[in-house]
Amino acid sequence: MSAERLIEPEASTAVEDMHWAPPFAPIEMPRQVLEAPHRAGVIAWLTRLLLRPVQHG
Amino acid sequence: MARVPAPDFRTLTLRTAAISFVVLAAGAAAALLAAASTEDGVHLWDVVRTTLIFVTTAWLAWGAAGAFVGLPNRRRGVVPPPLTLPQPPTVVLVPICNEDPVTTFARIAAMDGSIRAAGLNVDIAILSDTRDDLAAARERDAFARLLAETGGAGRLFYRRRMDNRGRKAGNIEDFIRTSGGAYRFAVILDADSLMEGETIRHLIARMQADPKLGLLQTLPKIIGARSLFGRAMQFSAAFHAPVFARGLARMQGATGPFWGHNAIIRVKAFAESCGLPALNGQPPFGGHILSHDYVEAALLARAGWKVELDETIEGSFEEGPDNILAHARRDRRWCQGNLQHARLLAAPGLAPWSRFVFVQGIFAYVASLFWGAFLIASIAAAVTAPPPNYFPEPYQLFPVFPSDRTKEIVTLALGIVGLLLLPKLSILGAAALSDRTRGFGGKARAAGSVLAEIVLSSLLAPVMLMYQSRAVMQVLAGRDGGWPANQRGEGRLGPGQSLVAGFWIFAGGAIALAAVKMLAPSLAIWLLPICLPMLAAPFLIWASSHPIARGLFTTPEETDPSPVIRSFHRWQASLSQPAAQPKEALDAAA
Repeated sequence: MSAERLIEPEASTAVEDMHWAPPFAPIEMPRQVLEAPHRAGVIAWLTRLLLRPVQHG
Repeated sequence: MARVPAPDFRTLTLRTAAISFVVLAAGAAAALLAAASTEDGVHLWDVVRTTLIFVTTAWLAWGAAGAFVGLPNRRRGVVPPPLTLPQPPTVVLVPICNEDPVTTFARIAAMDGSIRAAGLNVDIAILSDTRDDLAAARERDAFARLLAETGGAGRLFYRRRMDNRGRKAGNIEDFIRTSGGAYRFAVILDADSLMEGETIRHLIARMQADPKLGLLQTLPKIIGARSLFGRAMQFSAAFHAPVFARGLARMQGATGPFWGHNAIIRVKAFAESCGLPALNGQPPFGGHILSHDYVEAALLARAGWKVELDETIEGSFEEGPDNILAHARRDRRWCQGNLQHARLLAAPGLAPWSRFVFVQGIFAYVASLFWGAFLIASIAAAVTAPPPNYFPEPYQLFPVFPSDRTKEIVTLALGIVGLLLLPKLSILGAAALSDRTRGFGGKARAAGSVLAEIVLSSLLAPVMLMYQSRAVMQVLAGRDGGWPANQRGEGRLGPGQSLVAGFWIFAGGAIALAAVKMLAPSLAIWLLPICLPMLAAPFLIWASSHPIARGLFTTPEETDPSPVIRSFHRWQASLSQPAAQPKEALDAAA
């Protein structure tokens, strides 16, 4: 039996409580550099060249 | 952290051997086709199709090489490292998005029990990206009941993101940014994953034993399939996949794969190196990274962490699509994700093998177009070939008949079929010798299942090729497929639904066959193995979605299910019944 039949959303009363949330212990997650800089060479240039026309239709 | 060390001698040797095999096989295929097609002189279409057969055979040979490398078993007698106490803080992450909460939370209850039975103290965090408020309300009620029935407050957590930026990768990242400091290790699962507590214990111990290991990937076994298509995939994943995965593990070495779930990560390593940026531009090539797992594996390796795959780790499970349409829908997303990796080929600092893995992923999809192009080039070559010249010399008395090149073409066809079949037959042979067939119903039943899988996959290959080709062309045309919600358990398809979904393939097959019959009748017989399944596409889609009896495609997990699978079924049955306690009591307990 699926949840649609078992649990009536209109009648649901459970409220997301504070203790439901995982512990608060933040850490840094720096954004990584993935796209090659313009000087990175032929592959990056070719990739851009090949993908740009189709990317914009 | 130091850069990842150069691959060891064994890894390098295996890579060299595999690449040499690929070049030899592709070169032989190209030479045979060139010999057969240039009898009447070298023409443009001959050059095109010879190049295409080189590329497509290379792809097939690469798959076969992976299987051959994986055939020998791992060294026996290696004792797994014990868990060192105190057990490091660990969390199991279950990202969900519009899932059926009863089934999803039944899995979580089963894993929670299995974890405690293994003597571990591991939290489980359900990370909801569900957008629909009514579905979210159902999740909340189901979670309240889960807490009440397991007494899981304090170790089972639930949080819902209001902004599901970055989809699944963003969901995991949000958890790591907010709560990652509380844990040393995290086991990443999918909503349909199941994992034994003992398996999690083993994963933690492996991470403890090797401080440079950033990620350890298991090979999840597919469970719960009912249809012909699903059970064939389930059998293949249990019987063939361990050998292919072992080959992959051996060739990738410490720059192994990450498949996005059923793996353990070192939280510090992941946090330091896997913060994914959105790519410049719009989807499908720009925006958030769709196939984030390959990229995260590459980034961990770039930062000097080891990423390993161990296919021998048992007790790791997932579910698979139960029909071709569900498979094609998932494949559309994977196609876009893999093609998007073209943007990352020149990313700074990646290990060369990581770049090669991106190329492989791209090629896995583009290969379908190359096969299609090869067929078109072959027809064009036949149509544009000059008529035979029986008197090439002036004043020649007797005609010169073109020499028969059937032998070369048949050899080429046999070689290609061999590359497709030999890996599977070798795996069957090795399994029979090592008695691995026992879990698959014995030697005879396993052989029957392998042969049936070969027949079914051969019939479905042209249909899959069409779906993949369409997906590649859609992506190249700039169409974003988005991230459609999984429709788990949708199973059986109706005839009308199958006809609508497969009619365009049927039409493509009919047009191709009619065109070949008209333009190059001699090629028609060669195209029948492709065109006939295309003509039957609606029927194949419909028939393969129907449940089949358990005799065929038996797997060890069916005959002797793992304890966590049994527990999941019990919880599923229990949670499908109305709660024994009044709702107010559940809310109070939660």
